[in-house]
Amino acid sequence: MRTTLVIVVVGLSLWSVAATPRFWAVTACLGLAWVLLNVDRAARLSYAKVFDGARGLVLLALLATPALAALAEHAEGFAYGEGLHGVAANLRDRARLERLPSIHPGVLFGDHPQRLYVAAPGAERLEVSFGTSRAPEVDDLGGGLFRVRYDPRIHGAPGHRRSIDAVLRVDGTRHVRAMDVVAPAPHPRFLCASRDRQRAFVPSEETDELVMVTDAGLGFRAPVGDGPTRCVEADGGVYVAHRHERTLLVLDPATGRVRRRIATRGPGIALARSFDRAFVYVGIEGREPGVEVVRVADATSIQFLPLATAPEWLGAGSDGSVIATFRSERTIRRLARRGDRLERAAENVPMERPVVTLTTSADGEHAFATATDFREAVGAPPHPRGNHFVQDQILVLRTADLKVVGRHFTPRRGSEQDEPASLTRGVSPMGIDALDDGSLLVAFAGTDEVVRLDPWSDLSWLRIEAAPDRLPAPHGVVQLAGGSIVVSSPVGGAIAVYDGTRRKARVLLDDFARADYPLVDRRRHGERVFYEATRTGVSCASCHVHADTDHSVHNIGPRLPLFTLTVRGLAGTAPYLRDASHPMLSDLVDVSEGMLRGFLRGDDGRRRAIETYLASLPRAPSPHDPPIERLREGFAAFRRAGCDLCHSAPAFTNLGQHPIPALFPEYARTMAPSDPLDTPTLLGVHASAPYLQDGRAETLREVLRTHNRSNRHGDTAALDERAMDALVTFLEAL
Amino acid sequence: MTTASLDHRRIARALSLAVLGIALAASGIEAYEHRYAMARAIAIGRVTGYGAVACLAAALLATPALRALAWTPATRPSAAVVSIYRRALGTSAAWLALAHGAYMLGTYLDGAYLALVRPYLRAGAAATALLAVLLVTSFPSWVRVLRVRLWKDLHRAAYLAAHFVVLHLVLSPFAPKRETLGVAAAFGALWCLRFLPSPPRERRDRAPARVVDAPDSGSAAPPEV
Repeated sequence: MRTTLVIVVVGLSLWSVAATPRFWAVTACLGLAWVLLNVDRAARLSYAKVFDGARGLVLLALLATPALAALAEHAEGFAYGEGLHGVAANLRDRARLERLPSIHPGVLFGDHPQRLYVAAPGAERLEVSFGTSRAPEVDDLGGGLFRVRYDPRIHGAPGHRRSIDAVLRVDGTRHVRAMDVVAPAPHPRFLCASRDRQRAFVPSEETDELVMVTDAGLGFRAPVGDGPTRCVEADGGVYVAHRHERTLLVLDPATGRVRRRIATRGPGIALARSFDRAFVYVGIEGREPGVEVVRVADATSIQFLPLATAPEWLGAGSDGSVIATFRSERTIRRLARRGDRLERAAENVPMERPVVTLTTSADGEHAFATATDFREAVGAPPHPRGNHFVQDQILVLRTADLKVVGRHFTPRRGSEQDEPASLTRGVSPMGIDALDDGSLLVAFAGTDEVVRLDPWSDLSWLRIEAAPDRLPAPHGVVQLAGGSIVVSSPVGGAIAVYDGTRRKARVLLDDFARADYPLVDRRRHGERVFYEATRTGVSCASCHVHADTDHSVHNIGPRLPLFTLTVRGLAGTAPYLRDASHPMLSDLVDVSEGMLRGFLRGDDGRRRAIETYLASLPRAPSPHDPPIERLREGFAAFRRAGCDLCHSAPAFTNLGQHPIPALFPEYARTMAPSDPLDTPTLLGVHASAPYLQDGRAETLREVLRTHNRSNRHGDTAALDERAMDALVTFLEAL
Repeated sequence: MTTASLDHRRIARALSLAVLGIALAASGIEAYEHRYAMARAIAIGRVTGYGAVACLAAALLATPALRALAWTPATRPSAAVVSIYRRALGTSAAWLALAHGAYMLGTYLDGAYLALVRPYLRAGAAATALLAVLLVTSFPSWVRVLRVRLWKDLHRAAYLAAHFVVLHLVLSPFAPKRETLGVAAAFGALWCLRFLPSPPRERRDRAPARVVDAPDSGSAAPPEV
């Protein structure tokens, strides 16, 4: 035993000279110590005798002290070097998913319909209860997989609780699984003004309400449909589109009473009124995206113009045209009007990054679009520095022919600048109000300010209208007839009315005792961090537009270009990023603190806050809802192809990482073979095209056929065309 | 060498062969059941990998079990006999680990040796390398050729190998994590049991065991773990 102790102490002492924090280095030093002692004994050198007796023990203790100190000092280094940093989060999440029957996501949202999945291998029957008024519907997809359809409007909301116990009855046996609860909190985003500019309206998607504000403050809070997205006033009515139901509501602008319900082709995510106010255009998303034209006179839908993808923003030109922006296509397109008919026009502006917001001028001659495009000029070749470079800007486009007539960069260096090139003003332009005098009111979400700009003289800053203290990351802004400015802050859950630079009224929409719900405050804090500008003028939201992808490929650092990921639906899927380099959600702050040179303000609570916020973001529900038989067929193909080896139910990931050559040997030459690929969840995969880590596959079929030549990324060679179709249908419905 | 120890040696050899045979048969069944190459690789990798872990755990259990049982005269086993079985289990673990590593390198990794820098593969490779060294020094002829004197202390590196095995399992994409935590706890407990005090009688038993099994004596060297 003494000899072993001598080997260990001498080995550790040898290691502490270089102190490489790797286990192999320690092992090698122990091996070297063993060899030295062997040689000593074989050659009868007898040096090892110094460790005999009591004096030898003292010598060993003396040698061990610095070695143990070095071990303690490098403990964190060992954790990083051996891939153990944050491994507890990964083990926790994996253990949760492997505790069968398991349910995923482990978060219940109280504001919108949600699909959850339960893995119960061998089970034939499942009943689920969330402790709400009604049990959600359960679909058996075969192979021990069940889909749970939960709608808080139908089955009852979980309320303002931190967590609930989900009861799963599998073939009559009761299992309890704890789930987090995300209770809805008001998020007033984009404002619209009435024609006479006496009132401003803003929907709150999470709390299903429309808020009206006047010069004096809060007018009303009216309940509307499920997930109101945008509003627009036309002919004395306020039109409200909804994300989770196919309804356009028309409300009385004075009372908020519902006047009319208009059925639409799909969920509405964009709204605009025509310049002559005779029509309202609704941007429809879902399986059949397009623009629906509603005639205001009789509140009737008169046309549906199908498009390849859903328009995110709509604006009306004075010639009757409609300017539409498309996030996934990263383009601005013009739709022409002939008579009452809307048609696709040839004009379009391709962008490297999608437009964030868009509005049109009061005379309808121009459109103003906020963007983070990085090229010197629209249509120019990519920037030589690569495209992970954000240039906040406002584009001025002529509505008649969609020509870009102005391009103004908004970030400025302000008095808070602490380093050369630090940007402290004008970051992340969000809401725009085009005023009658030709100037623009712009809300900057990154730097918490509302500024009056002149778009015709190189965007000179005319006046700072508001620096909304405790009204963080403003999104919407409109000016009322009396000169007051209304600013909405979804992050703060508040709306403020300003007179010049002074705040006249503040409307706080959280109608519960905030002190009782610290989680809501922390979530809002995290949302604030998400929109907060760093010194480089970039925020998380610059690329992850509204927590989604900007559908762009970024060349971050020396690595290959990578496609922007959505940050929705991440809860319970540690580690994060494609290379699993961030073990916890809170570690994502490191991207801002390191690569983006840190935030302008000090804030110790950022890590915890961003973790809470990101964990509370729901994944976009799939618009695809094929028949259950088709889903069963698809899941059978999924298992036959061996997809479930890594994309295991119910999260459709086993949270493991693989070396690139294991899955894509044909790409091992162009990518670092030692880089790992984190297995992504397939939930919400319908919305995350293009696919694979560098976005080389445009469709799911390409992932499975074209880019799986070695047949190692699933046994897709074993699937015939019918099975492949079923598999793609299944994946799109997740 | 006594007749009894010769019998135990034969049984231990049969045990070792049986373990390897079972692993081979199970791998054959998995190969037959999985037509998809990746699924087959993972299944056979599990058979060989978990087999190696089980054998290593059993080998590590020998010394604590010996210490625990030695306190009761009725159940007191012979240290020499235990060391024979411990050696058989240890060599089986090493053979299975080598088979696991070679097979996974050739199939799952498709010969991409550079991927071995990944932490979980690095840990697996380190464990296999250590077990390979212990395997080589488990044969008296090799011990003599290598002029190894401190073979007993070397074989305590089995605990180091167990550490790397746990790392490999914790970080591996295919190892179920609840079971992995169980394995980690088992290895931890075994390591703690290693410090059980030996009863006075057990100390007397150890001297003849050294004489009988030490490499210098010309007989097989039992791995002392």
